[in-house]
Amino acid sequence: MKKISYLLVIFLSINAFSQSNSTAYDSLPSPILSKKSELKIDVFHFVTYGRLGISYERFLNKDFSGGITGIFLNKKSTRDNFLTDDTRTLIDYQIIPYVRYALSKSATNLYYLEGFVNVNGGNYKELTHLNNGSADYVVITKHRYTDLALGGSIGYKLYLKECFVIDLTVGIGKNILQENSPSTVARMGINLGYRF
Amino acid sequence: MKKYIFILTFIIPVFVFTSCTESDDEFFASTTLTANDLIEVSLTGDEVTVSSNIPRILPQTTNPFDIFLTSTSRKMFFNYTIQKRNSNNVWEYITPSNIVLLNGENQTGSYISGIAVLDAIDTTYEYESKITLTTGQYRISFDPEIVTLNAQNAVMVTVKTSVTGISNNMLEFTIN
Repeated sequence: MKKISYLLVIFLSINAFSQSNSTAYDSLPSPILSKKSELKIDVFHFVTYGRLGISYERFLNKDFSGGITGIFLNKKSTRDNFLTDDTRTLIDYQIIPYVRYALSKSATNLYYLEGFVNVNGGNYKELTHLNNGSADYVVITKHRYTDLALGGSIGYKLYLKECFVIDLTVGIGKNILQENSPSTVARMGINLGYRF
Repeated sequence: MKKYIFILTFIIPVFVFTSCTESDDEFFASTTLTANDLIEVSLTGDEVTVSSNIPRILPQTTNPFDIFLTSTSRKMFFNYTIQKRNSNNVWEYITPSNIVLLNGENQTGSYISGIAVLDAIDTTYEYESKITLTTGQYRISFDPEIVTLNAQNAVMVTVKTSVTGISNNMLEFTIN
């Protein structure tokens, strides 16, 4: 909850900052629009889960863009403790192709809607009943899963110096193929990147 | 006004979406069995004896169940309370001061946790305590569940049980 509160504060702070500074530039054509590609690193996943999150986004026109996000790895302690902690699933990787539609006219700060597909895989655990020949017993066992989620997000982008970007995303997807995978996957990110 | 709409645009989805993250996907490693009459209570003079002998290989309707192999725990506990009727005819909880432990361990406070310990040959979790009481009217109540203790890296086992020879897991008696 604390992390989510920080995220909320960052959202609102940047939003307030951008509202007070953007109007003078909104009517001018921005050089940003001539740059069609963007690379980003996800700070949120790195700090909270120790995961590496990288995104590439390609701008198709003023309103639409498409991209792909890859989120990999977990902290060693998270992996080591998985069998004994109280979480049922552990996502190892997520590959997220997405399409975005810009809701704002401004090129320097804008809100967007996003639709995404999330191919995710990892481990789940369950109780397994065994028999050793004389008695039943129960152990915790770990299994692999791969699933595909469909979902949507909203986000906010702020460009600094016409090439550096802060990209905030909040959304959720629902896994549709496996019953043992996480029922939902959160799409949250605080991305810092470069547009070129 | 426009600014507040922008702010609300983010606040509402943040609370909706973040309430359903992957950390909500919780797992409780526990299993529950049923076996009656695993706790005994007896009254002799001014002494109440509480005991429990839980077989490590607990008979079940199909196959027996190995509590230790599942939980890796050498201790199981159950809770009970003792109340005394005071001069106003009101039951009040007491912490008995004269308890003699014959087997296992006790943790006493507003209630007593009787801890049955697996014996040296790994066959039975054993607990026995003798409680000496002063004159008065008493009742002893049992929580009819015996639970493995500190099974942190394995599966917690809960055995739903009953107390031999008494109904509703409560015994009311008088010490003269």
